[in-house]
Amino acid sequence: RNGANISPSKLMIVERLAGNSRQLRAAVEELLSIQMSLDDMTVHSIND
Amino acid sequence: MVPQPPQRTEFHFQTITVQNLLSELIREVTTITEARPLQPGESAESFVIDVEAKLEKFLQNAEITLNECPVLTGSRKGLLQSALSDVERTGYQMVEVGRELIKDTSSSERRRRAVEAARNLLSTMVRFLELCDQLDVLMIVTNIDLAQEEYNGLKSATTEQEIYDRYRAILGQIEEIETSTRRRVGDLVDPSQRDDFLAARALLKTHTPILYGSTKALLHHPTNAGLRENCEYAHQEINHAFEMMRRVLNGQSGDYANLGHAG
Repeated sequence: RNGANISPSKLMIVERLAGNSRQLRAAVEELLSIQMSLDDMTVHSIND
Repeated sequence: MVPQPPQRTEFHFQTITVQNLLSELIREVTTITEARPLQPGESAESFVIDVEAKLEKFLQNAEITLNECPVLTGSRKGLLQSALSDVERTGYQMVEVGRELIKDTSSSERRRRAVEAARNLLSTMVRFLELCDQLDVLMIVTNIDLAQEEYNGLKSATTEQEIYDRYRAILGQIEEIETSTRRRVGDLVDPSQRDDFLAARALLKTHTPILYGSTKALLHHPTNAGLRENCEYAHQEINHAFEMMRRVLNGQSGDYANLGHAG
């Protein structure tokens, strides 16, 4: 006899990963949208 | 290393949630036109660090989720792991190229490479989520298979107690199927699939008590042809219901007429 049902809490893998996926996309989008001024880049190179 | 374009397969968005999620992810990253100047006190490096942190969080959660998945075995496991490795590879490429971009955001070549890396990362992520969605379906179908086994066992039960025990187990399994499919079915893109699934569920619920009653009666009157016919008819309808459910979950029409139902 089986009785080995798969718990619904373990279902919907996509839902469990949806939040992380959106956050990663948003972070990538933010990174791509930055446009630094010459001053920012000077500060950045000094920090490097 | 030149990023490899992710392998594409034909995919049909079955649920509204997945459709929205994936469409949102694959929205063209090259259309970003609004430049965002750094705010006072902000460092460009923090944007790269953020991408890296979000990537690690995604990879970690994906790994945990896959490890907890009871139906992930064999070649399917290899496929999912390989798709996740692709996310990892393209993700760290994005981080690397992002670091180059912030050294000179006015360089069109660096920006082009960053956009390409972003596109590769998001494509691999979408591919991975597509496979995860198929895994979600597989888990529900596995529950349906288990329930069907229990129904088949009812037919071969030899005592009234065994019939009763199996019937109780079946009721539990019907509830399990309902819980696991409720949200997904309500979320199906195609309304006719939703109707087909609901029809299958109704068929299952109607014929289960008939099967129970006729199986029990048949145990005491094994030569009664009418009872046997009832029992077989209920069993046949239940098998149709399961088949309809499987078809809908796999993105096909669950049309009752196509399943050989005589009416």
